[in-house]
Amino acid sequence: MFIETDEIIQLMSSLLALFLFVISFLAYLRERRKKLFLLSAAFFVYSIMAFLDAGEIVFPSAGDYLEIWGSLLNFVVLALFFLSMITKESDENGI
Amino acid sequence: MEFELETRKRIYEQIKKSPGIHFRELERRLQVVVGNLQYHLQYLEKKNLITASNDEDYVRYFLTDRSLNENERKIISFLRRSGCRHILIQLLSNPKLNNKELAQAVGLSPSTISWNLNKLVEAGIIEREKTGRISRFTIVDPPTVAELLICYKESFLDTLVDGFIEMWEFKNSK
Repeated sequence: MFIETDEIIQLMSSLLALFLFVISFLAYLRERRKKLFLLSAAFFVYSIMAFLDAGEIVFPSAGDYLEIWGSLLNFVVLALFFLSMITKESDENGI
Repeated sequence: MEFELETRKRIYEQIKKSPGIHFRELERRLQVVVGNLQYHLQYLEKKNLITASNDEDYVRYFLTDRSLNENERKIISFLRRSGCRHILIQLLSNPKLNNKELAQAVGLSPSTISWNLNKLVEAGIIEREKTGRISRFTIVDPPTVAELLICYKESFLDTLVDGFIEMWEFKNSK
């Protein structure tokens, strides 16, 4: 099986996004802020998306089906980033 | 206070790195004035963070084996959060600061300061004193917080997580 350069780069992107997901999820666990949870979800979805983009390595016959999922996840990632931008945290005790 | 803490932390870290290091070597490596070094070493000894032992020629310093109690572990977990750590350092130097003063001193947005203060109050590490509409904050047990700040060492993971939080959360991160 021959792996193309762009697929290797996509796999590396997927791993990097997974790493960012771990960091952002740890940040969420530490701070318990909704904004950080949305960001960690965005990185997680991005890692799946990048993995699917390189999907021909794993699922060579999936073709168009993968592309549709890739586009959908692309939208979900951007939506999650947008949601995290507009999320405001409330000060529980109003200090 | 912040400067003193930093010097004590450096001394503590140096002894941790080189157990049994003697006074002159500490002075040479850290470039701290003799009187100052003596003062800080005495402080660390008094707080039972280090022990000194006399061999024939030198006084040698070692870290004291220290297990943390539940309260100390709780404080350490807050020291791992950059925002809380900076707030506690400020409150050690200037007790009874209010939210606005802390925001200016620490360089974080008032809402972030407020959020961190709530967590610290809930954990019983600081207490709130309300006069009129203004809340002022003081550390419940300043000596313990000061000791733990000396022992605390930021891990690489802490640095990454703190960096991530600052990047996404704070307007004027420090």
